Amino acid sequence: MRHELVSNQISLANFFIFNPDYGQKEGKEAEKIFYYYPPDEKIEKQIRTAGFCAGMIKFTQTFKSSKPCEFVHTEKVRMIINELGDNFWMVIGINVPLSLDKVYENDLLSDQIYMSVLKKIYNYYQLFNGKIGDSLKLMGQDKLKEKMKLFFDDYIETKLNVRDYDIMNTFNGLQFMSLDRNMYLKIQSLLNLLEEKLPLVQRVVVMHSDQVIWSGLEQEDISAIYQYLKELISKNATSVPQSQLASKFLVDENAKNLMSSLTNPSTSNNSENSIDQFDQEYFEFKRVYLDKPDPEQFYLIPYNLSKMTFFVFIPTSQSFKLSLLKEIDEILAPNLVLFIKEISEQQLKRSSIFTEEKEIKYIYFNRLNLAQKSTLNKTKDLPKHLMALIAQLSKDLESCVPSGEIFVKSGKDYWIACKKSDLREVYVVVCQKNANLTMIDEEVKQLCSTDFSNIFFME
Amino acid sequence: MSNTQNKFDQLSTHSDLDSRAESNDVIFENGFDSSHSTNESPLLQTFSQALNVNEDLDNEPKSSDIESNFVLNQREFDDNDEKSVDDSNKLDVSLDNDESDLPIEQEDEWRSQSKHIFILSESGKPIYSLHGNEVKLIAFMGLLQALISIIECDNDNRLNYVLAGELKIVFLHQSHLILVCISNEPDKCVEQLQLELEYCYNQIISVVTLSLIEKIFSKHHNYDLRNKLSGTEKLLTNIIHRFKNDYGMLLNCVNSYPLPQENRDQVSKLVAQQIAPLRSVIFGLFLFENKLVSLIRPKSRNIHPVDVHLLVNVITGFDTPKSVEFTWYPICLPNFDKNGIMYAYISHLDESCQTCLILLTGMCDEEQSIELNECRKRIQQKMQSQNLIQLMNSKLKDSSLKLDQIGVNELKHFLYKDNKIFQYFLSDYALPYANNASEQQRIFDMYQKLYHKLHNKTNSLRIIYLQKKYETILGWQTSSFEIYATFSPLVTKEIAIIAVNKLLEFTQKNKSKIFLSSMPTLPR
Repeated sequence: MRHELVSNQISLANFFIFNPDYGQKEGKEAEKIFYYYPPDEKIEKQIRTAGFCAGMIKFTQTFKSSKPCEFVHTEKVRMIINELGDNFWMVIGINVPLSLDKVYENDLLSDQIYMSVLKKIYNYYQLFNGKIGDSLKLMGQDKLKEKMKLFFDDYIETKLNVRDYDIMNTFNGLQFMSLDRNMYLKIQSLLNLLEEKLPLVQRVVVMHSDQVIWSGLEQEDISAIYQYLKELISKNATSVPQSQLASKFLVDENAKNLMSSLTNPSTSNNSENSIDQFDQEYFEFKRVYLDKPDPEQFYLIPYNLSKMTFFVFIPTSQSFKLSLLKEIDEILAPNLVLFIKEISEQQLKRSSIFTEEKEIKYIYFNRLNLAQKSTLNKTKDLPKHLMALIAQLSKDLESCVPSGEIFVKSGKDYWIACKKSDLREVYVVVCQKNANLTMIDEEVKQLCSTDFSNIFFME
Repeated sequence: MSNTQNKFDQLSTHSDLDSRAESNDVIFENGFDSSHSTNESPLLQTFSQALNVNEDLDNEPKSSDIESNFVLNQREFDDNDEKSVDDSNKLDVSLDNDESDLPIEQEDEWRSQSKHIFILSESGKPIYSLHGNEVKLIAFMGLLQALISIIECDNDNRLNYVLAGELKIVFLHQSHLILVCISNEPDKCVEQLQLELEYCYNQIISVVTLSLIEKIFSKHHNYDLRNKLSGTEKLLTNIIHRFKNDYGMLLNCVNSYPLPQENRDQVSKLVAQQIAPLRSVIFGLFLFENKLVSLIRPKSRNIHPVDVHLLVNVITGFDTPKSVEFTWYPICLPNFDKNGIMYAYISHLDESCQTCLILLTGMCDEEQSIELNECRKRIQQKMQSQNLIQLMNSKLKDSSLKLDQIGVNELKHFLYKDNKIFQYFLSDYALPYANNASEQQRIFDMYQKLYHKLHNKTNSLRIIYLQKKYETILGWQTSSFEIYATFSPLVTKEIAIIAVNKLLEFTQKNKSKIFLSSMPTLPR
């Protein structure tokens, strides 16, 4: 009612990165701003906004807060401040939506969600560019500012959508593929074989379509890179038969052409030796920075066959030639062909046991392995204020240690039941007129026994 | 009599500078001492001053028209106050010269206080600080004012609050006053701190009136409001302390005293009969142990719970020595009339000061005082003859309102609020909460969070059932009541529901004892 027609008014007010070590002199305050969006904002306003944040950060430090200033709630704009380290700060300003009765609906914006978004943006930046402090040392202020402009302008244009964020964004979780045990073990042993034979291969992530089967990365890293891996797969989804080596490695056109010219026996006039003239630099594999256990840079080599993709990580400190790629192909291809066939057969079997469209909507998340599952259809299913409520309840659930539950009734129709057991959480939304607590409890128990039969939730 | 009638009518209207009858400038206490430490009751001081009307009253010159009315704590601003503006500036300078090693913002002890409350004027002039002398905080307050104005000058925005981990900084900018609360308390939510600032704001209005503040600050941005507030900082500190665990203030209810219906009726009738003939008395409140026993009001008006809390704050905030028979206190009740002043005649009717009679009138003069005194003496006599005070004490032995009457073991505590009459009932505590003040404070904090969640404007909830490590708590809101209950942690939902139904029966059954209802009204 009151909250309708409001969600399209959540918009980006500004996004900027500043470092108060710079721009301390009178007249040169703008130096502390390393990136600012919208770029056409008046410079005085930029300075004032960044100055206010810097002032607030210092002010909160006076009072021995455990964390620096994070959230500034003003009536019309919400500011979220994320500390990046080395005295760099990333700030996002979101315009608070205005309802039809001219009331600023501040509670529709959840602090946690936008903080997660900011952290994710920085993780994504770090993945390809390393830590900001290190870059500053390497290339100096001006070059860094240019680089940031390129990266963030593109990110804001293509990836930032402040309207659609909800609790799933706080999880940064992964979709795991459910496989039967045998299949899983087969893939696992193939992986071991690969790593055994090719010691240069340090980490691997295995995916089927956009779901993860196995991740050899630490939580923070896989969570940061997952989105990018999904994009790589969807961009390069090809129905062309992948007989050639080049088509199996998801690289860009130039590299592909190079690779095909090298491996195609008819066009190449070189012997075995000359294949190895070209080292890894020529293939322009993307370089990524992984943080754990130690910050290190890796080449990301995506090997794809039909629906399966093996993402191989090789440290940039190592050098390798085309022959390595050939070896990867030789090890993986024959087995993968079989696996793919088996998996698709299994999937067919499963989908024939038709499961009805669930009436109960829920969100499940496991903080330990980052597995997430949701039967909510995002904005279509639930009014925006309920999504904000779920985000709030998620924060309250944090204080239920080690387990607990929260059941709330909002308005006449909606019940939200949250259960937490150690690191697993489930949020169930039931829309039922005039239900009471016992009825909802029954429904949730039923859900847990059908959908989560393998997962323990305390009663 | 007709004279008093006039003054009563004038009360509800804008108190006019030019209305001579009421404009007697009064000095509330000697000098500009703005520390909190006066031990003597300021009420007493002014009263004795008031008796000696013709003596030279120190600082503010009187306006031309001095009637031989009792001179009371009326703080009116007129043009002669130019002088006090300059004086206050001089004061600041002299104190600035006081040497202290560190600016107070860097003193470790001050910084580690878990809660700070600052009140300053729009122009950054300090008015009050919970910890530390506000005089030393001039630079700090200036910083607060600067932060707020940066936000406000941009598109008429408003700074609401700032979060940094557990630290919450809440701002309230209203009527030329800026109130800031800085809290490291993990158990208080932002809405609670906002409510606290509103109570502080109301406390200030109750001393100065809204129209006076508007008048002063529209002419003199730099005015030092402490001139008008001196002596009442204690009340601010007191209301902040009381707010920590006062259920009435949280729920927007009066704190009522449980008493069997017949006894309460006896008291109410007695008081009503005595004050009915005094035309100038608008409200009569009878309190026992600072909780409301009877409320006598005119047919057409009611008194707001917040106003009652402000009155009780006066009683608990000033430690009046027991020997004092009665005091007069001018007060503005913000929910009754933001712009006018009423006079509270406050008197304890017994030696141990358990009882308290408050009569609110529109005017105060010698005649009035004598009348009310007589009235009070009569009430006192009648109470003694009917042994009413003993009866009120006997509540301690009555076990009909104990928790075990409900008979559900898992129910450890509950709070019931009646939404129609703004009163609540607090049960006693079962083990392990009984006799444990910190556990009881924890329950208060949990209910506080539930309350604000239920009443959230965007996402108001009907029911919250929260199972945590040490207990399960339930909050339930309907249009007629609210219930907050604490259960043992492993309680099942069935038992919780049974308990809640039983407690609803319990409160219905004991309604007449717990709540004030159908009080006699005054024919006004």
